[in-house]
Amino acid sequence: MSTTKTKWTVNLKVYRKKGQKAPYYDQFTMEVDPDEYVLDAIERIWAFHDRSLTFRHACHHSTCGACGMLVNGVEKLTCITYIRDVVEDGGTIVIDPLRNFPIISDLVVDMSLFFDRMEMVGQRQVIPIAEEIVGSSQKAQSAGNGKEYLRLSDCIECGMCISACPIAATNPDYLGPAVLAGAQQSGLDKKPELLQIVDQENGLWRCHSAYECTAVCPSNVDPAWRIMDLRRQVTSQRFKRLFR
Amino acid sequence: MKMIQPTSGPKSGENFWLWFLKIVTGLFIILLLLIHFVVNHFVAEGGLLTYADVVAYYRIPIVPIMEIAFLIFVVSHALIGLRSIILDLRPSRPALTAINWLFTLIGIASVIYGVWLIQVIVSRGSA
Repeated sequence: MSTTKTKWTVNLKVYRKKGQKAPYYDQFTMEVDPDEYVLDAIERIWAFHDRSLTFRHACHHSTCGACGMLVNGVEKLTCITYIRDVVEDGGTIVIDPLRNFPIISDLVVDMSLFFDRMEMVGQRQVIPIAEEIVGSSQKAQSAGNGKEYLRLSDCIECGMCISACPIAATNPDYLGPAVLAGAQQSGLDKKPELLQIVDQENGLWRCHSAYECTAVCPSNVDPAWRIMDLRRQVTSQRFKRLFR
Repeated sequence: MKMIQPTSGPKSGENFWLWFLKIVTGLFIILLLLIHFVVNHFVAEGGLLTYADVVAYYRIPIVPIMEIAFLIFVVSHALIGLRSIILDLRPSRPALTAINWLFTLIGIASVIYGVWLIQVIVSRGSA
């Protein structure tokens, strides 16, 4: 006979904020399956306990990047975060909105500036089919120069790297890891105009190399490495210009 | 589409040359520290254990030059690093300008004092 409990009782402590009212936490004690995801528990709060709870979600399989939140103080994509990985039976899960974004309501943050910045560095939200260079079924595994394609196109723009970034925490004007990584992927050689966007006081020189962005990225984009690579590219361009 | 213009910030903020200087001075600090440890522990016979040993060591012409270079690299690296941290506190432009001048003065004063001190030690060796 199996002794593994299939139901756990956990407390969900959820950040709440509406309008100009002071923020507070609501607590919900729930029976959950530990193999459920944190997002499932949040949805159940909305469905059965409090319809006024607001949060973002869509795909439920880590593709849309909408459900990024702080789970016990750490940035997590809640649709792929197992309850058993963040709490024990009888324990508490604290859910907060992402940091370094304005809070619209409860767990929903305003990411419009972030999305605008992504577009500014050439990472568009929607690419028309006519502009797609190759169909997904025909994508080569190599860029043709012997190097494999890297994975930035897998950036799901969840904003978790911005939330974890200590510089974004102190300076809202800092472009942030995803945007700088986006510029790196767009390529300074293909888009020279990106240089003046990234090579400025709130651009790539502000990074303190904490690598928190890479630690929380759910899509292995490795934004910190991309910022370092962008620095290498800009340094190289600066010196080439000196001797031109 | 709403476009955001890149902030063409005043030169007092973080920039390429300060970052580059920080990296280069950091590399030189590692290099000079390595030389310092190797010389002290493996080249100098018995190590530089007494004041007289150190004074004699400074009589070798390359040593004071190396120590002065080390002093300049450490002071520059430390002050640029400290300035980067202060930038996280988002000082106002006038405050940052004041910090720039203060750190420049601290840096120059530290180097002048250090060079004088090295020169004093060297002169004691020649007495």
